[in-house]
Amino acid sequence: MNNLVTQEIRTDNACGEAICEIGRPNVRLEDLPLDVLYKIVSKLPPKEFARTSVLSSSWRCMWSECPRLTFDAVVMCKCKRVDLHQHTERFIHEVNAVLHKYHGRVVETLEIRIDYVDSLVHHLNNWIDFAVSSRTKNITLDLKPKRFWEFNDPYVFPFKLFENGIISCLQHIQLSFVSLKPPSQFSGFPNLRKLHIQVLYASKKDLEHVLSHCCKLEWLHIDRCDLNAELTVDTPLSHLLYLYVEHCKLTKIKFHAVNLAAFKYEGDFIPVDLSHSSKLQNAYIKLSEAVLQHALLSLLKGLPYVQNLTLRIFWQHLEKQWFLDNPLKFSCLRHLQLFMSIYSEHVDKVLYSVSFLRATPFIENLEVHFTGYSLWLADVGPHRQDFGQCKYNYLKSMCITGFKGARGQVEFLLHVVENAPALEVLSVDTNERARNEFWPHRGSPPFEKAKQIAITLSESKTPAKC
Amino acid sequence: MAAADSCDGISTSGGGWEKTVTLVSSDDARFEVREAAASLSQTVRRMIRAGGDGGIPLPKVDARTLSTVLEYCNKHAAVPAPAPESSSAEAAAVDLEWFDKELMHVDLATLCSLIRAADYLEVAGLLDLTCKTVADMIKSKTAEEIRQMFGIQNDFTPEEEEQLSRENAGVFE
Repeated sequence: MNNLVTQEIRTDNACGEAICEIGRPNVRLEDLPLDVLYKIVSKLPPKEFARTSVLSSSWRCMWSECPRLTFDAVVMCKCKRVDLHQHTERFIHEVNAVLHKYHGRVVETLEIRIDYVDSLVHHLNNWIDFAVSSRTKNITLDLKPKRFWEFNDPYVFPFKLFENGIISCLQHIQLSFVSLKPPSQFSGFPNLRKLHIQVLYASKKDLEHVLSHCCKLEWLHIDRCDLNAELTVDTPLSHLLYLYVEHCKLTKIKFHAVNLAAFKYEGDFIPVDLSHSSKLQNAYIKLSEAVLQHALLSLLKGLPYVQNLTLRIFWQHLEKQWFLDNPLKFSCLRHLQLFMSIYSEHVDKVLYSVSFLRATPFIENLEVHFTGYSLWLADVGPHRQDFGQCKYNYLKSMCITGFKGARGQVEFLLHVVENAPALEVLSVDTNERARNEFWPHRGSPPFEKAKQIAITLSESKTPAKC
Repeated sequence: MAAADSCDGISTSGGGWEKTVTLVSSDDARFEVREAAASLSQTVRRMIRAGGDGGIPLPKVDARTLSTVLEYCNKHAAVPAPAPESSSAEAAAVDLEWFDKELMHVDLATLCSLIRAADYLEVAGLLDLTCKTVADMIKSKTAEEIRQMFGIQNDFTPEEEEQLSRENAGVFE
């Protein structure tokens, strides 16, 4: 072929100048553009790639500052969600264009948020494939359906793309409106720290299979995943620190998480078994409907080691039960926060909530927040002399809000004050949270009267503020 | 291709049946090269489209480096596109692979100049090839060996380095 390069002019001087770079004793790779350095290191196998982070701080920096790619269709298409489906093609095009630019580079985070339509399947698979080859650590797939009720064919998470060990890069996954069907030989996400699943389409077996194979999991949030069955993960998840289960249709929750520090649950009243979690610091339980005493027994069995507990029952019932013979106690509970909604049929049973206190021998700090208009000056129910004594030797502070001068409240307060020798602070609040409450009668609620009762009560007992 | 119909304004002096363009290196060396080969560089391709007289100036590439880049481009642009299943296609692929391997038998300094040039000229194939070559040099070497080879100053304390190594071991155990 006659296509050889012809060099027409070549002066010695110019040549010398150009070559001087070659004579440099040290070649500094760091002088190359950052993009190129990315390209070089991304051609290394994952292990070798990670090893380059120990070379120097600037390499470390490059290693940790891999780009985050976030594609949110609503933001990108600048439209309302209802019109989003008209922009799907544009979204696909833009994502492809950007990913093409990053081809061969390491991408730390890939986030895709779009209303799901069937035509996206192929592209989503490609994007996940991109994430796999870019050693992505964090993946978010938020694929809301256009209409909830018309949705029955969600995107199936492509486990097959994660074969060949690449799965070990994943540290954080968020999946919304995705179907999870792991292959039977799936051996887990070995380095997954954080998992957030929302409206996941998965069977009990599949979800338990995945969870029990994420042994490094630290943070787990399960939101609106209806299994209509028990969620039992018996495999020890010793790294799990945070567990949040929200509005899932489940019949029971059981985890073996010895280091769990925080547990949050919102939803129906179901048995929770975290009896292995002996370091549980905080639990926040919000039930839609329950009998307070039943909730108490369930929590005593399921969270025996909790240190700070908040219990909120939206539709709360009370039973005429003192539980004097209940042998179970919260052995570590220091701080209890109870939100008590009292409906008219339970006004005469307020004092029975003492049964909860009797299970907390080491309590230091108690907060009870009452609501319910029927409480106002209600003169019904038992007296504190009707049940035996119980000492709260460590109680230093008690706070009651929504105090409405009801006999149940007065007796509750006196019972605690008389049995808490170390009590330092008592705070009784008559209004605040009650201000905006429903009041079916003429005029405004009798705040002054309730305040008067609170002051009279406290004067003889302990320093208090009302 | 767009380049073919918009090259009127540039100095062409080809052998009649094939258009050529002239590239000028940082040290004023002039290279006459087939347009098809030069177009492997996206940068050059854009400049051909923009037009201009007296050759295309490439102030960031010296003659020695440019000649190697063009050697690569000539070779890769010369390969015709025969039917993919024919034996000649296979032979051509093997030939190219050999050519690439030979081209990368250079010292590290030259390699870095080539990377820079390929990046600036946007010759994707060459950039890939050179980056892969450097990556291969890094592979299976200790951190200290890599530092020595590329003149990287280790600015970590021994404790920091120890901790980083441990972190890595944790991720890839």
